Amino acid sequence: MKKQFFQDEFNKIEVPESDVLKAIQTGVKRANTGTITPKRKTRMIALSSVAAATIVLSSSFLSPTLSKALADVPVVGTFYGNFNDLIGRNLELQTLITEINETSSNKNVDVTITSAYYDGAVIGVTFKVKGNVKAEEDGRVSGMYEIFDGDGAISDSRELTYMEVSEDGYTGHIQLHYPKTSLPEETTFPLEFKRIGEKEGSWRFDVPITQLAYETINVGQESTNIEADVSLQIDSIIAGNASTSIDYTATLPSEGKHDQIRLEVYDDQGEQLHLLSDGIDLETSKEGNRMIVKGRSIIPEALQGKTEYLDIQPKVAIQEPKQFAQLNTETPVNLASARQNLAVNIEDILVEDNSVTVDFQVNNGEKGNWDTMFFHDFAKNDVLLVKETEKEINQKPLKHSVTALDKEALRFRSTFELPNNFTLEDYVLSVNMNSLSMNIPAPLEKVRVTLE
Amino acid sequence: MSEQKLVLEAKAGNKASLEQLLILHSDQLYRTAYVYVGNREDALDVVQETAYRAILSIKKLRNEQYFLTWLTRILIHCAYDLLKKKKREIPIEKMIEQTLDKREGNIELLDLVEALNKLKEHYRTSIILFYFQDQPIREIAKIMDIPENTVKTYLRRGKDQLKKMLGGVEYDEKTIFPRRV
Repeated sequence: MKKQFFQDEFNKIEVPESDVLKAIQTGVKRANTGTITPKRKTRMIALSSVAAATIVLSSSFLSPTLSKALADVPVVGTFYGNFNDLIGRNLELQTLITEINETSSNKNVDVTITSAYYDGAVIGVTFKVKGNVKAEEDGRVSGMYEIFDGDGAISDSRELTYMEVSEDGYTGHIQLHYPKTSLPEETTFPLEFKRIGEKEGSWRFDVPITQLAYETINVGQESTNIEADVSLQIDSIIAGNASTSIDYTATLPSEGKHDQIRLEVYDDQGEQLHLLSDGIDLETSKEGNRMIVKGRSIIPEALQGKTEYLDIQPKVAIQEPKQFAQLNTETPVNLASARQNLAVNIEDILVEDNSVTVDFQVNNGEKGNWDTMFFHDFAKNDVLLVKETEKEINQKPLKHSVTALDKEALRFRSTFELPNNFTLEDYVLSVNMNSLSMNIPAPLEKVRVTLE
Repeated sequence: MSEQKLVLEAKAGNKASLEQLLILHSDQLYRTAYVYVGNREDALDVVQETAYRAILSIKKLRNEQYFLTWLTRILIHCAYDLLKKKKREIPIEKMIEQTLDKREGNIELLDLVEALNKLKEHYRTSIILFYFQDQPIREIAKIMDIPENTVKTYLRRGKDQLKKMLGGVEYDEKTIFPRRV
């Protein structure tokens, strides 16, 4: 392991400078609680952004009058200033956060929902807690909540949240993705806190949310990987005020039900955009022997005006079934993936009294962007000698060592130590290409989506 | 103002100086936290917590020469506390899902972070300090409060385990196929 590699990787970690600064300041402030005077800056920001709000509101709300719209989306203070929620903060700057004041009381603890936003497919809520709650050593309070009644079909429907100290109690925030394909304009979503600090109880809300004006760009562009038997259609782009969602439909063969769809998104400068969340499964259905997966990936910023188009590079990490070779098989034997360009070519198997030696080549010597070490690890961990009867379950394989015969050509030699009762027929060579495919997802065709 | 002077002032109770010092080292603090927890949100929480604890315990810093050593030690404790808390309160499957969830950016690094997460606490810390932060063994021994030779042993063992894990899935590991990345 080379030190330089680690340091390079370390230095590549992107530092969100203003957020780190904020984190330091919040930490310092927490330590000083009680000595800090309430913030004054808030109001000034709020007032100066009324003009901006007016423009946004007048262009996005058609029927309500401006005053009504302003009442719906009032200019509020810094709900998100202390929270690490890029979308929330950005919307707050645009004064697009709706103030809410709904309280639920239980066991002498009051929980109040203070604000909410609903931008594209992303929902955010802030709340405060008052009452006798036990904080942890560091001064914060934790809580457990459920959304949509903890529906198991919805990912992250039960979560843990930490609240920060505020002037008169604690404040917290929750961010979630609307878990369904269609996004209702106006809805309520069930939110229930089940524990605050150490108190178990029920603080239940139906949080009213109104979707901010957004634009749907219908795309309908398809991308395929014929060998992998996977096609993906970019259905639409939901361009929100501070978020951009990419909705797609992937069609996979039934054996690919555990395949992972991954999107890489680049702007018109070729810069990769960070995803808030990739591959959220919205709906999965089966049609004949095909799996249809409707999914969504979210970028935590508005992109219209910032880039003319998005280059989307879909990839699929294919779930590879294990492959086996008998020890008395005639060599060479090529164990190749049926759906992508991955293979292990068994060149030679030599059975001796106390050992079995297997020579093999990985991926026909094609390394791609990977280091030899990666393939060496694969050779060590995923080319194993196992009992025929236990080949599908992960049992301890026979002890073995691996040496590289030709690093550049990815040729390796594994020598397995044989147990006393070894018989040739009882053992098979097991090759699991999953770790290769999870790390080297197969690309589909690139799709360019124009945002204008 | 020189760093040492800032440290002296901070020790004397000047919170603004300590804040300035934290900001001075903020990149390293964030990156180290990131290597421990693997995602932006948690890394920011760790930084916040470190700042909080640093303010409360600056008086305990004995030798101002070792400010960064002391600060790094706090950061590591915070990172472990956060990881432990997550482990205690969230079922493990969920945690894996969450970490994968928040994957962003450099996949190779994240594979590394994931592998690091599987290492024993002291192996992981010695690897992070030695390889990522480029700290000398002497310094690591001080941060971890262990003899230098023990650091070397931890490094060797941690490195061996890491090598085994990187790129390959352990044979006895429960196979997980989260679709979310």
